Amino acid sequence: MLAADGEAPATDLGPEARQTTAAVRELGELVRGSLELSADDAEPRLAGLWDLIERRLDVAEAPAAAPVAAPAARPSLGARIWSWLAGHRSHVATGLLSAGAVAGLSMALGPAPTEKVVVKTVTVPAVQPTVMTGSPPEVESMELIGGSGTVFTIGDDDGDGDTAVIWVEPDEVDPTEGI
Amino acid sequence: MNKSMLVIAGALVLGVLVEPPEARADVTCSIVEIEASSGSAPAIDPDLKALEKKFKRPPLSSWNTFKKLGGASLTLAPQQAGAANLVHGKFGLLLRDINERPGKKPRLGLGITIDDTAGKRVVDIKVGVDAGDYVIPARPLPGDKGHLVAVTCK
Repeated sequence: MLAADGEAPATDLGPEARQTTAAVRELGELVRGSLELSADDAEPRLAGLWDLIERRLDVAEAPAAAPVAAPAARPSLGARIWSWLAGHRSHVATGLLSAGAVAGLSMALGPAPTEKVVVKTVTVPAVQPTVMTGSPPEVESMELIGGSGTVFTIGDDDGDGDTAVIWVEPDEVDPTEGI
Repeated sequence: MNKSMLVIAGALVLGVLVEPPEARADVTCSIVEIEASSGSAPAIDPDLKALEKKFKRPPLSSWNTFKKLGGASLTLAPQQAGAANLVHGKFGLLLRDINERPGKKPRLGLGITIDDTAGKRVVDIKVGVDAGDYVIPARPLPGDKGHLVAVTCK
């Protein structure tokens, strides 16, 4: 067997041993060829298996990385909206520009607004004229030197106000006055 | 003398030099001197048209002829006096006060004096009258005539 494996020199062998060694070597060649054929047949299946193993290795590595990263805080609603807007800045700007352009065109090309004149009849309540009431004249004090006096009140019958006539009767009328 | 004393002294000087504004004259009084008599036909001066209805009421209806002798207008502020010369003497008027009343005519406090031609005071009355109303002091004159002074203020 050692000679067949090449570990011992074949010169020391007898004629029988030489034939046996050649037979073993031939058998080995046959087995080796058979195994190589089997390996060639199994190669496509082994390649698919390797891809499957590789994918499983990727999945298995992901949970292992999670503890390393710091736990991220959940952003607020405003921050998420702002983040969304920042991420879609170009879309938002395009939308606004389009809306502005459409509005401008509709205002420029649309019909001019027409003025409507609505005539309404409004009933205004009659305003009563303010009447200033009055009081008749009142003599508070009367000082007549050399005579006496009488007060006459002429009423406001004609709407032109009250009148007080103060008639002064002197004891003696100067005969020269008024002449 | 520091700065504040200078300012005070300046203010005092200004106060002496600048006269206070005159009180607002807000009442105008009309004075009409009338001579009344009795004639064969009634006659009323056209200038006395505003008083025509008054002349037809007693005691003025005892005359039928009214002649305007003269007139004057005095614009007075409260506590201000004015005077006007009459044909038969002199007339004095003092606006004592003005009483504004809501919904009513302003009430005027008047002081009226009449001196005869000799300078003797024959009438001195204080009367309260509504703005626009008449006060007519009247006294007899020789010859069965009457001397009337119609006063109204607005």
